[in-house]
Amino acid sequence: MSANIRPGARSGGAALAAPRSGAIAGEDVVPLGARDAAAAARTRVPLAWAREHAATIARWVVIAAVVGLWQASATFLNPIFISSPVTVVRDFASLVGNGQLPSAFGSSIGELAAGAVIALVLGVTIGMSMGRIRLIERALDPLVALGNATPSIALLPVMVVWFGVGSSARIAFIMVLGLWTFIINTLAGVRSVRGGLRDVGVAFGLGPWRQTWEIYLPATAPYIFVAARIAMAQATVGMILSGQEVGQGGLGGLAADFGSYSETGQLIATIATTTALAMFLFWLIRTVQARAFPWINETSAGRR
Amino acid sequence: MTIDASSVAAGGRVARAGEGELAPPILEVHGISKTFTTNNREVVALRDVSLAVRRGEFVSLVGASGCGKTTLLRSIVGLESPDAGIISLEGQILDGVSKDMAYVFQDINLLPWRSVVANVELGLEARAVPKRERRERAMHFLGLVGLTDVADAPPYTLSGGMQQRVGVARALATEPKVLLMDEPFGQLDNFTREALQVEISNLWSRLGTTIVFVTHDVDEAIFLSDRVVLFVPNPGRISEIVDVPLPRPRSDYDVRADSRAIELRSQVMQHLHRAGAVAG
Amino acid sequence: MSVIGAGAGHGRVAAPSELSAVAARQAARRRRRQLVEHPVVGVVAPLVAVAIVLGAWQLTGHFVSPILISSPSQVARDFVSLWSQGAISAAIGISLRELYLGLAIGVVAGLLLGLLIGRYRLLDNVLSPFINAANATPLNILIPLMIIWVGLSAQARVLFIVLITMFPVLLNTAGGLKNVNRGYMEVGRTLGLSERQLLWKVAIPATTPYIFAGLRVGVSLSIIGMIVGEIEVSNVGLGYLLSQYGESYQTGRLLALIILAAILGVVNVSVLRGVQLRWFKWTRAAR
Repeated sequence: MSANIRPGARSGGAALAAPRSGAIAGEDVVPLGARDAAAAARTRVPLAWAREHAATIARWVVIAAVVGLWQASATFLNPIFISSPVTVVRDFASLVGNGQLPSAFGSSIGELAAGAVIALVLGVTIGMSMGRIRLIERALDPLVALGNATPSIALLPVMVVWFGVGSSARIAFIMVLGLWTFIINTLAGVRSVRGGLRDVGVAFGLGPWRQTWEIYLPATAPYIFVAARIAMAQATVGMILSGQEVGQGGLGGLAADFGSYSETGQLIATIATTTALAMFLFWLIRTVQARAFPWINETSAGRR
Repeated sequence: MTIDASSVAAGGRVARAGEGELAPPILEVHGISKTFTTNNREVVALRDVSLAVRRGEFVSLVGASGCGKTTLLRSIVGLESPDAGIISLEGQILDGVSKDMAYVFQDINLLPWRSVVANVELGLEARAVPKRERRERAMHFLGLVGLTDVADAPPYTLSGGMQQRVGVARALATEPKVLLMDEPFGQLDNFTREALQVEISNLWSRLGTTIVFVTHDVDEAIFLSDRVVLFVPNPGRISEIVDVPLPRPRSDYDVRADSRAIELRSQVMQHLHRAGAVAG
Repeated sequence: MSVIGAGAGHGRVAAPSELSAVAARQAARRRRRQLVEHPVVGVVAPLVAVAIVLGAWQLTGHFVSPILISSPSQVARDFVSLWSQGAISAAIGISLRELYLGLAIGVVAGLLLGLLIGRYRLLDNVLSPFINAANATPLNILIPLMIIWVGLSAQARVLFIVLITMFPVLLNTAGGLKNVNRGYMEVGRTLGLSERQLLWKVAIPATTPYIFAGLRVGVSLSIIGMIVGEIEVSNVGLGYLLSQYGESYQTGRLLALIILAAILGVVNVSVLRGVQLRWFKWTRAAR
C-alpha cells in the first residue's frame, strides 16, 4: 500500500454544477489525517454560511446595480421612454394619494375575486360531478373539450354582447378564462381516485355524499391547487385585458390611460402595482396550500 | 470457516489452512465512516469500516436495508465522499469518481434517449474510443449478455431483466478492474432474478473480473460469492466475513439444496439475527 | 343454497327469494352502466346538456335575441362569406406571420435562457426573483409601455408574443435541467464522463420531456398572445376583426372567427405533439 497519504477529497456530489474534486472554496476537503468527523465539520461550517448567503447577497447586489443603472440612464434618455426610479416612486405616491390607484386596484381585485371564485366553485362542482357520474361526464365532455380549445380571450367581445359594457361582462370574462382549467383538473383528480381510495370508501360503507366530502375532495385538492395557479395567471390577464377594453376600468384601464397620454412614470407605477398584486396572489395560493394541505408534494417545473 | 472482524482490520491477510500465498488485494477500504444528517437527525451509516478484496474475487456485502452496504459501495466508486477513511485501488488512493471501476445500479438507469447499443457505448465515449471500434466493442459485450439482436432498440421496449443485462454490459464495456453491483436484481421478479444470477456467475467465471456485490438476499450472496461480508446497522459496520467454499461452477448444480450451502445460510442468518438483536 | 357475501352477516345462508332479488338488482345496475356507454348517449347527452343550459339562460331573462347567439348554419354562411370577401385571409396572413415569428423567437430565447439558468446555479439564484415576478405578472399590463417604446406596430405585437411564449419554456427548461434524474447523472459519472460530457450527453437530453411540456404551454399561450396583442395594438389581424365584429354585434362572424382561432390552436398543439411522437417517442415513456 502506498505510503503517500494525500488528503483524500472524494467529491461525488450530485449537483450538476459541482466540480469533481475539491478545488472550489467551500467544497468539502477532509483535513490531512483527520478521522474525526467533528473536526472536519468545524472547518466546513463558516465556508458553508458564506456560500449559502452568497446567493442572497449577489441578488441584492444585482438589484442595486440594476436600479443604479436605471437611474443613471434615465437622466439622459427621453423621459417619455423611461422614467427614473425616483420619478416612479414619486408618481406612485401621488397616485395613491389622489385615490386613482387604490380605486383601480379595488375594482380590479374585486372583479378578479368574483370571477375567480365563481370559476372555482362552478368548475370544481362540474368536474366532480363529471368524475362521479358517468352520464354527466358523457354529456359534458365534448362541451368542455370545445370550451377548452377555444382561446377564451376571443370570447371577450361575446361577453360584452351578452352583458353590456360593464362590470358583469368583466367578471363573466374572468370566470370563463378560469373555468375550463378547474373543470379539467378536478376531473383528472377525481379520475385518479377511482382506484384505491375509492375502494376504501366503499369498503367502509360510506355513502356517496360522504365519500365525496371525505375522500374525493381531499384527494383532488392537489389538482385543484394546480388549477388555481394556472387559472390565476389566466384570470389576471383577463382582469387587465377587460379593464382596458371594456370601459376604462381597473388597473388595466388606468394603464391604458397613462399609456395613451405617455405618462410613463405613472404607467410604470401601475405596472409595478399589478406585479405586486399578482405575486401576492401566487404567494397566497402557495401558503393556503402549505397550511391546509401540507402533505401535498409536487414538482414545480412550470408555473403556468 | 469464518474470519472474524478483528482480522479484517489487518487487511484480510489471514492465511487459511492448506492454502499457499494469497493474491494481493486489489481494492482496500480503510476506516471508512459516513454520517448522514436529515431533518436534524443523525444517522451513522458507516463507522470505521475496513475491507480488502482480492483480485478476481467475488465478494458480497449482505445485510438488511440501512446497514450501510450501499453507502460503502457508493463510497468505493466515488459517488459518496466519506467523512473519514481511505479507499485505494491497486495501491493508489482514490480521489473522485474512479475510471477503473464500473457500477451497476439497482434502478438500472438506462438512458432512454439512447438505443441499447448506444447506452453500452457511453463509457467508451468517455474514453475517446473511435466510433467504429466503439460499436464493435459494445456489440461484443452485448453478445456476452445475449442481447445483440435488440442492439438498436430503445430501452423502454425491453423487459426489466433485459434492461439490467444491458446495464451489466454497459458497465463491463469499460473493462473495469472492479465491478460494483448495487442490488442489481432487486427490481426484478424471482424467475428473472435467478436466471440473471446464473448469468452473472458465468460471466464472472469467464472474465475473471473482481466483483463487489451488494444484496439483502443471503441465498443470492452464497450462490454467487467467494466471501460474504455481513453488515449490521446502528452504526453500520461489518460484523463478520464468511468464506463460501462451495465448488464452482455453481450453476451446474442446485446450490440451494447443497447441505453445505444450507449450513452456511443458517450460520449467516443466525449471526445476523444475533448481531441485530444485540445492536438493538 | 349459497352464502351471501361480506356485509350481510357472517356466512348466513340465503333463501332463494332473497337471491333472486339481489341478482335482479345487480343486473339492473349493470344494465344501467352499460346503457350509459352506448354511443347514442355520447351524442344525445351533450345536446340535452346544451338545451338545459340555454333553457336556464332564457329563464333568467338574459336571452334577448338572435344577436346574442347565432345558429350553426348562420355561422357557416358568415364564415364562407368572410372568406370569399378576402377579409379573413388578409387578416389571417398577418396574424400567422406574427404568431410564428413571435413563437420562434420566444421558444429559442426561452430554451437558451432556460438552459443557462438551469446550468449555472448562480444565475438561477440571481435571476429567479425577477423571473418569478415577470411570470406572475399578467403580461398585457406591459402593452401600453411597449407601445410607448416601439409604437402601435407589428414589433409590439411580436414582442408581446415573444414574452408570453418565453416564460413557460424558460421555466420548464430550467426546472428540468435543475432536476435531472440523479440516477442518469450517476450513470454518467461512474462511466467516466467529464463535466462537459455530462452536460451535453446526459443532462440536456434528460431535460427533453420537460422542454416539451414547456413548449406545449408556450404554443397554447402564443395564440392568446396573438389575439390579445391584436385586440390592443392594432387595426389588423384576427384580434382586431374580433373586436370589430363584437362591437358591431355581428355575432355570426364573431363566432366564425372564434372557431377559426380554436382550430388554429388545436392544429398548432397537434403539430407539436406529432413532432414529439415522431422524433422523441421516448419522452412519453421516460421521466
